[in-house]
This record gives sequence, structure tokens and C-alpha cells, in this order.
Amino acid sequence: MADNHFQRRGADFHSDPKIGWIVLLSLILHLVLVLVFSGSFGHHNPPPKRPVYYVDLTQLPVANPRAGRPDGQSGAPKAVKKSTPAPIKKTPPTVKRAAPPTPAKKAVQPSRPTTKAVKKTATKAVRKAQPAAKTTATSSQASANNDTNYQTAMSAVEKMRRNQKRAALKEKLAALASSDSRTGTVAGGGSNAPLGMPDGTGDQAGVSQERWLQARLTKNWSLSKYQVVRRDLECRVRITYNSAGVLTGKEFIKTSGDSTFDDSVTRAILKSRQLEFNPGRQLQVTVTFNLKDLMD
Amino acid sequence: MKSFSKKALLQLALLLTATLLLASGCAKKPAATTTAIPETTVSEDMGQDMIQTEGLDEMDLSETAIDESASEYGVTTAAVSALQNISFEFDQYTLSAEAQDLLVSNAAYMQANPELKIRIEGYCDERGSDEYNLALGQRRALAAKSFMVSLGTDPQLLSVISYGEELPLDPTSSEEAYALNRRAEFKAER
Amino acid sequence: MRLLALLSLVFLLLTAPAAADIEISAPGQQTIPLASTKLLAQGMVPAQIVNDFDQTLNDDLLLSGLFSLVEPNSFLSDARRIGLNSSKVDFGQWRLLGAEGVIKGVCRLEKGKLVVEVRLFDVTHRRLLTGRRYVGAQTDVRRMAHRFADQILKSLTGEEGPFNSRIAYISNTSGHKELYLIDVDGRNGVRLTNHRSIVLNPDFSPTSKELLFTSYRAGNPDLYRKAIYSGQEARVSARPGLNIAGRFRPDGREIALTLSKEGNSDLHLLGTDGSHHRQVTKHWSIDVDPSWSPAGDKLAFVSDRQGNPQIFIFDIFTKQVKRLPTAGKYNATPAWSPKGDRIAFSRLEKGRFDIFTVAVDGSDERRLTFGPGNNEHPRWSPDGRFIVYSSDQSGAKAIYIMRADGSGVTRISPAGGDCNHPAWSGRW
Repeated sequence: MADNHFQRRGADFHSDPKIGWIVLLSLILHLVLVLVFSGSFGHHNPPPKRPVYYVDLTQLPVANPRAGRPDGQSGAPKAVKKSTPAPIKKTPPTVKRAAPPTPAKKAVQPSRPTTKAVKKTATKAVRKAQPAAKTTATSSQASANNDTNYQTAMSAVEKMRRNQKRAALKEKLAALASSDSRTGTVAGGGSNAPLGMPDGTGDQAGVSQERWLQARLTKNWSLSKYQVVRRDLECRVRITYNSAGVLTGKEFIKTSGDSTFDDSVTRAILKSRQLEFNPGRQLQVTVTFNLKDLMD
Repeated sequence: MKSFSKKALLQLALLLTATLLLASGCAKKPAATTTAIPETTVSEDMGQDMIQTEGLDEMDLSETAIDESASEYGVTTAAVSALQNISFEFDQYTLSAEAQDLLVSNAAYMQANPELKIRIEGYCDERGSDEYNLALGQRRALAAKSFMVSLGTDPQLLSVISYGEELPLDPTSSEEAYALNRRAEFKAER
Repeated sequence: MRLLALLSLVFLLLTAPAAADIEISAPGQQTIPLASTKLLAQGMVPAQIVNDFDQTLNDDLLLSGLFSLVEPNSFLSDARRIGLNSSKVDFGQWRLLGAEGVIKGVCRLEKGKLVVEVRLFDVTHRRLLTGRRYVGAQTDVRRMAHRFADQILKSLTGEEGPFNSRIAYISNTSGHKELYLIDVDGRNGVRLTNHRSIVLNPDFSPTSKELLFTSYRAGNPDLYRKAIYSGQEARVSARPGLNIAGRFRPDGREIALTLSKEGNSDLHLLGTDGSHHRQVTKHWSIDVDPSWSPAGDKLAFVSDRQGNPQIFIFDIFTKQVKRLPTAGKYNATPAWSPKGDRIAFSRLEKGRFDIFTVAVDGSDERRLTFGPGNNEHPRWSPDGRFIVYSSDQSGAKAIYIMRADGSGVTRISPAGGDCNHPAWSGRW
């Protein structure tokens, strides 16, 4: 049908002005269809956002991270949280760091601990739980050889360890801050801060896959300022991962003109031939590499 | 069944990795090999950069070409107590009134002793570029010479040399030392 | 109709698959992690040789600022395995250590000659980047390491390093100011002159192993040249007055210097045999310290023609003189970079010299040293990556090198001797 319209538009456009309106109508209808199916529809009628209680740095990236919520509604969300225990999760390895602790749940959900000792056991539990869940997940998927599998696991473990540390620190910091601001509440810890991805629109807990990839590629990318003469270099690369997290495409949309620079970018990308998580969908990102932060 | 699908996936992943490597290799070098691990030979570019030890064992430099008996600064000079040093301001070679008075008396001494050949040595303090100071010392010596010539001294009896900031009278770094070092000296040539 | 076009455009944009956009505005690692394994001896090789190579190479690599070295204690089994073929290197081990490149090599003695084979592998691409075999005397081991460091820089940046070169300077260790020669890392020092007078201002011939310098040996600041290996020495210019600051033109065929034969200090060009070619500047002012542009068509020099010493640029062909517009009241010792884009110089401010660089049009001035003491006489390395200079920052004058951005300051001259007037050779 649409084809017909387009064909006819070319022929009859000038002779019959009404056809223009018909085409317009068709376009609008198509547009609405596209909007509905692409999910952009949500913009017009946003569903009630689920509250997010924490930034979960220990979780692996998700396709549709949820949004953050302004602070200060610590009462209500708690109730919601209890009634709807967990948001829909597609990625298997998620060990939840729970929001405000109800002592009874402590055993099951490592909650924000009040003492250092408790914190340690909690993080340990998470540490143990995660790699286990992860490795089973990835091995059932695609890892090409033992070598990469082992390395992937190793680096994942390391990354998680780091993240755990960071999360613990953050929590400590938040606890300090909240003990300053809210004098009354003992339970006012970091997990009380209802946070999520700033640009999140989905319903999954975790960072967005793009953000995760950005951080990983930044870490992978090594280039000395003494390797390049100019600082105004920039290249754009389209990177594609399949749903199993295997790099399937790496295409320079724009090269920088400096082979050393481009080569360093290639290295950075090839260091992550296999993602540590399953995107669960084809993941395609266009990455711009430049040295803006090194310019003086 | 489970193991079979695993295997299939593994194969798929291998295939994808291989194509990927291929693609990435092509981006850089069209002659990239087709296996996942490029480059298979050992010889590579070895042996292309043999160090020619030319010169390396010649490092015990011969100094025989040097005349070891050369005297300190080539020309022998002697201080003449009656001839007084004149001093200058920083980065200047103009003669102060005091310096002019001293030059008048130096010129008078030379006229009284016509057999004397005098070398005027220009010096600077340690501040400033060495090369610039060499030129500045030359200027100072020349300024003293032309003033004495204007007083009637025979220019044939006067030569000049600059030592720049070499050979300071006072090697310390103080205003007093600097003032002392910015000078022209008068030495009898032999 | 326009509305229609607009709508169809919107339609097209919306239906296009939207790839997420990410910007990465700085590398996460600003040094390249390298694993530098020690040479593995094939047969009997003195341990000193292996250690000298390792130390020299690693010092050079760190000095370049390009690399961080992976802690050798963390090396796994592959570091002890001879395997110079990329199919035999266990890249997985190196990747695990975060290394992006790995250096592996072997050494052996063949008929008393030292043979070193050493290679740099790309861990990410699992391939060889560069490989070299060196054959020489056992005492050449440091030179081999310098050469390989240069080679590593070449393969990772496209431009060879400067480590296989020499630095000349003046020292009075012997009680007189004499000319000395050292390696870039401060080793293998030798004294070149025995004038027992005052030797000043060395400059390397760009085309041969020769040095120009000024000496008072004959009672006047005269210009000499000396062949480094043969030790042959000749007086090039002994005109009355100053014969100072001689600088070879980059083609090696002419010498620019300051003469004061007519009483005033001006720049002149001489043939390498000392014959007078032409007078460059003719001005009542002091004109000293010439420095050639790499193309040999311009001379930066110091003149006080505007009152204080400042840097000017003379065009050999048009004979135009232009001031290099810089701030400060006392700017001296210009040194044109080998790429031709910048000029390093020293500025006297508040009684102290510090080193600056500036673009040749006077823009983009950058201060490289911030005291303490005086930092003077900058000269560029042949690749423009480093600057050698003299400084009394720790008391007595000594020779230092730093990267062209002022980082990585390293003292290279031995203690004592008021070391001064450095000059960096071309690639040896």
C-alpha cells in the first residue's frame, strides 16, 4: 500500500493536489505506528515509574535501565518496594543490594549493613554469588575457547571486586552525609537515595549497556599524548555486538587521519572482543574517540 | 542435546571472531593473513639492522693532536698596578663619570710609559646569556679603548679581548660580586 | 508541500535504526603498558650484559614518557621461555597482566661478539611489531639497548627515538673548561679537549661526527672544529675579536657565527674551512647566538637592537629581520626545533633564567621550567621530543634533559664541574 502511494505520488503529484493530503495522512498514520512500536509512545504516556533505590554498581549492564527519581520520598517507595519485590530482570546474574533494611530479610538480601563486619560478609556473599551466576551464564552461551573464558572470568571478577569496593565506599560516604543531614534516622544510608540512570527509561536495575561499554572502552584505550602531535584528532567507529556479546562489527565511520590514533582505538575495541555480559539483543553503538580532555 | 547446542554456538563464535579479525586486519594491512593469529614466519625483519660497530671501539679518543704545552690563555699578560679597573652597570657598556676619570689617569700613565702595550679585558657578571655577555664584554673593552684613543693614546698600543662572564673576580652570586665582576681590566702584554 | 517534505524526513529519521552514540574524550590509560622481559642467555653470557641491556632499555622507555612498565615480579612463565615467534608467545599471559606490548629477546656470544636478538610484540593483535638483531662488542650492549628503544618508539609512533645520540657539554672538572661527550643517559662520558684554557659553546655537525666550539687557547676566543673519532682538530676562524657561537647550517656546508672583527658583534656566514661567505647582520647592536631553522633558510638570533636582548629572525633569502614577539625583557639562547614549528629559549626574569618554547610566529608561549635556580641553554633532541639544558637547580651547574613539555626532568651529567653549554647530536 505504501509503495503504491509513493509510486503514484511521483506521477500524479502535480495534477491532483488531493493526493498530497492522502499521502500526508498516510504518513501520519505510519508515524503513529512507528511511534507506538518503537516504544517512543511511552514518552507521551509515561507509565508510573518504578522507584529506584540505589545505584547498583555490582550488577551487570542491562538493556533498559530504569530512571532515577528525585530524592526525598523515602517513606512511600519503601512500601512499594516491599509489595513488588523485584523488577523484571532479563539478565540472570543479579544479586540485590536491598534498600532500607528490615532485619528479618538480612539473611537473604545482603542489606546495607550497619557495621563493618556485616558489610564484609555481605559483599563477600555478593562476590561469591555473582561470578558463579555469571560463569554459568556465559559458558552456556558462546565463549570461544577456555583461554578467553578464563580471562573474561578473571577480569570480570576483578571488575566486580573493584566495583564492590567502590560501592562500599560510596555507601560509607552516603552514610556519613546522611547522618549529617538527617539527624533522626538511623537507617538513612546510601540505599535510601533513590537513584538510577539519569537517562533511564526502562524498568531494569543496573547501568545501561552503552554506559558500561563506554566505561570499558575508556579503560581499554591506551594512548600517550607523546604518540600524537595534534590533540584535535577524532574518529568515529560503529561497533556491533551480537546478542551473545561477541564483537561482530567494527567499522570506522570517520578516521582521524592519524594512523597511530586510529590504531590505538582499534586496540581498545579488540580488547573487548567478548563482553562480560549477554546483551540479550544486538548491541550497536557509534563511539566517538577524541582527546578533548587532554587539550590544554 | 545441551552439549550439542553449546558446540554449535562455540563454532558460531569462532567463525564470527575469525571474520572479525579478518575485517580488522584488512583495515590496517591488506596483506593480512587469514588466520586468527596473523603472521606465521619467524624470520620477519631480523637481521636488517646490524650494528656496524664502526667507531664504537674507537671511543678511546686520541688526544695526541693537542699541544699539551699550550699556556693558560695563549698570551702572557701582567697586571700593572697603576692601571685601574673600571666598572659598569648591568647590561651597559656606557662609561660612567667615575670610569671616565679612571680612564683619564690610565691614559696619562700610558703616555708616561710609551713602551707599554696594553690589553683591555672586558668582563660581565654571571647574569645573562653567556654568548651575549661575550659580546657585551667586547663592547665594554672597546668603549674603554675608544675613550682612551680619544684622549690621545695610540690605538696601536691598545688591544681588546672579552671574557664575558668567565673568570669572575668574585664567583659568588651577590649584588656586590656582580658589581665587582662587571669590569674592564688593563693588562700589560709581553 | 514543504510540510510534506519535512514530515517524510521525520519519518525517515524515525524509521532508521537508532545506534546509540558514545563519546570518549580521553584515553583511560595515558601510557602504553609494556612488559619488558630480560634477555634470555643462550649459553654463557655474563649476567652484567643482560642487566645492562635491561636497565638501559627500560630507562629510555620510561624517559620517553610513552610507557608504563609492567612490574617484572608479576611476569608469568612466558617471560622465561624463549619464543621469538609470535605463534610461540603466550599472549594470554601478557593480556592478563594488562600489557599491550611485550619485549622478548635472547643474547649469546659468537666468537667473542655479542649477538642480541630482541623483538616487540603486540599483545592485542598477537603479532610482531618490530624485531632487531644486533652484533657488536660486549661493551656495545648499552648502545644496542638505546637503538632498540629508538626502534620501539618508531614502531609505536612512527618516529624514531633520540636515544642513540650524544650530548656534548662544557665542564671544568679538570680545572679548566673543556669539552665533554656523554650518552643521552649520562653514561660513557669522555673528555674531548685538553686546551687548558676556556672552551665554550659546542655545536654538532649535522652530517658528520664533528663538533664546533670556541676556545681561548690561542689568546683570543677563536672557533675550532674537531672530528670526534680521529681527534683531529682545526682552527676555523681566528679573526680579531669574537669568533663565538658557531652553528652548522643543517646541510653542514656553512657555519653561522658571531664575529666582532670591525668592533661590533654581528652575524656572519663562513664556509666550513673558515672562508668568509657573507655578513648576515650589520647593525650597531650586539647580534649573537644564531640558531638555524631546520630548512636552513632562517636564523633566529639574539640582538639588543631594541634596547634589551630579544630574539629576532633573519631570513637568509629576503634578508628581512623580524622580532619574535615574546614577552619579557631579556630573552636569549634561541634554539629552533627540528620540526621547525617552535623555538625554545631562556628568559631572564627576576634575576633567574627559565626555559620557554614558543611557536615561530610568537604565539602559544609555554613555560617549561619553574626554577629553582637558573635554567638555560636549551637545545632540542634530534626528534624534538626532548630538550637538554643547563641548570643550577640543585646548586652547581649540571646538564639536564626534559621532555618538550617540561616533564620528566632528569640530570645526566656527573657531579661537579659546573657543567654547561649542552648540545645534542643528530642520530649517531
